[in-house]
Amino acid sequence: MSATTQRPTSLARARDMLRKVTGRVQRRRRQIETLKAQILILTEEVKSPFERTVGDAADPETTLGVPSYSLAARMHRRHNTQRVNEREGFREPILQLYTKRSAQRFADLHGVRVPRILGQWEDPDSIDWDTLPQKFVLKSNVGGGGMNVFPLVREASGSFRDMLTDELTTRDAVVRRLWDRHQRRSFYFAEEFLSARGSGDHGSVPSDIKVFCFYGKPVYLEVRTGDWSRAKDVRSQARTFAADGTELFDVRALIDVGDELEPPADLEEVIRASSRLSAAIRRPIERLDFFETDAGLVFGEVTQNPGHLPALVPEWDRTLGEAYEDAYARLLTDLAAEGALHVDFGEGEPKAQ
Amino acid sequence: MNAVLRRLPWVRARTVATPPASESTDQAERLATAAEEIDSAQRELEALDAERAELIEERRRLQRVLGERVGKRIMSLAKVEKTNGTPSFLAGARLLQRVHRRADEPGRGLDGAGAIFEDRARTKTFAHSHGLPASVLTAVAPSSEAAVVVHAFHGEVGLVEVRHRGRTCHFDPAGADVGDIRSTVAYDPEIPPPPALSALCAWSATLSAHISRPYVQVLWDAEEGGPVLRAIDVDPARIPALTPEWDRRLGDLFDSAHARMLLQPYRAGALANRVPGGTFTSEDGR
Repeated sequence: MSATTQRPTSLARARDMLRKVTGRVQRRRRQIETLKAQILILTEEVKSPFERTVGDAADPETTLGVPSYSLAARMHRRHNTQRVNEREGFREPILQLYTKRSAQRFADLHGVRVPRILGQWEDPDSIDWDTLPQKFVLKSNVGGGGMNVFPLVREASGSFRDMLTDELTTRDAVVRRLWDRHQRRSFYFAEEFLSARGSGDHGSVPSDIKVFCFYGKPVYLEVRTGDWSRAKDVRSQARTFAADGTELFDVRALIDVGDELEPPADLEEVIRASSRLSAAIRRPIERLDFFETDAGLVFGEVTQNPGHLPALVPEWDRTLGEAYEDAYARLLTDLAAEGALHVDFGEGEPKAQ
Repeated sequence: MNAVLRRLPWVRARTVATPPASESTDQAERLATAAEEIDSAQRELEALDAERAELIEERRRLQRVLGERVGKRIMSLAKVEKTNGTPSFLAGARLLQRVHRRADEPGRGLDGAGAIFEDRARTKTFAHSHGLPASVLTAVAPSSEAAVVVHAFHGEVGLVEVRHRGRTCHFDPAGADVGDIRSTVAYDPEIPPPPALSALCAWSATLSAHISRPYVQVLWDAEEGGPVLRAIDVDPARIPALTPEWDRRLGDLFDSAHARMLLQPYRAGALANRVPGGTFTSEDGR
């Protein structure tokens, strides 16, 4: 081969090599940004709530501290999961919305679309499989993390394809799984199979849109898939957004970013629906989940204590902390205006000493 | 040949052939430029690799610190978000204080409690209405010699602080000196518990249980003739910065007090979920 034909090739290789090295540099820069964000989060996490509140104040006894979503959200979760509320006889009304059917009825009453129910049964053995259509979603009324959710498509062989794991399964296997997690208050229902927006005939399972709300104000949202569910081989991914649609990068840096996820197509409707539902829940903090489907936005569930509370970089921990405290202030203002929160004067007479 | 070019194996191989002079000059210049860019990018990559390694090591160090707290070698990143945190007196008290200070009149608070307890006559009326003896409600000028601060958590007393001549001692509600638990004040183990400690605690618990805040300070003067209620502070400027053990211990009390505070609106039905036309009733019945 002559030198004249070799030279352009060499330059092309030079360019190719430069492109590859530049690509690696860009990826490395991204990794470093993520690592820096993770370290910012973990640096706060190793501090006690006391240390996070006091910061570097000269006098720890007089500093007011700054709002923190993490501290506030964990306090509420602790009150529920460690039975603080229960011991004090306080059953938070939001717990009424823990069960899926109850939450769906609540959303429906507020005019937010919910999945159509195809049947309901007392226990897994009673499920009337033959009346169900080609595609449906079988659920238990209780349980989180998608563990009791089975989006199923009938196969010619009489088996079913589990669309969460993309594996073949059988009635018996599903019934067994449901019994494994059966609780005293469980019941079972089938609902219409919701297809992800734009997935057409293929009809893939829609991603979750999880909206973090503060007494009527959605502030932060995530589009998420593979969310710590039965689908062990599916990579959990998320994209994060501010309520105005601005995409946020390296804000919740301890979970994987989703490079295959679509942003909400109808953010306005997401915000409208979540604002309406959140304003009706008298709690300063909750998460509302939706699906974007071929049929529009559909309500998913209310989550009072997310299993994974977002650990955010300090700037956003503060932003959501501000939103929380603003929400709590608005709630307490409403309660006080209604006469439901006040200093309680007694009727007693002074005791003789 | 350019020193950078010499380090690139594929450039060395090409230099065996000799191109025509004009073309070779042009080509060599472009190659040299490209090679310099590659070299520069590779140097940056090496620096970034070194930085990444340091950051990964720092991340692992932090994960080890978190892991040790739960008896593990390391805490996975996913696990961090599953932790519940720990109760903290100072963090909890300041959180609710910041919320109430969002009121139009911050000192008054969202529930108006601050306005009531700024007024000594209304404070007396409040204490009177909950059966406190008239003798403790006598209006006297607050003493600067001795004071007792009862740290009360909506019906429960967590700590009793006794100040005397610039020094302080803290007692539990049973009267035991809990030691030097507060680095910001001078501890004096010679200060005795107040004579009427159990009564002070009982009255403070009663009063705090009827105030719509999870934490208040009930201030008493320990006069010779018996204790006198000086004030109820629902928005204290100073909140004790205690040892981690005591911050946690009172944090547990704060958490419970927060739940008890919400019983008032809860029992009034004011926390019920709303639906158009009324409140939501679950039909689950399970």
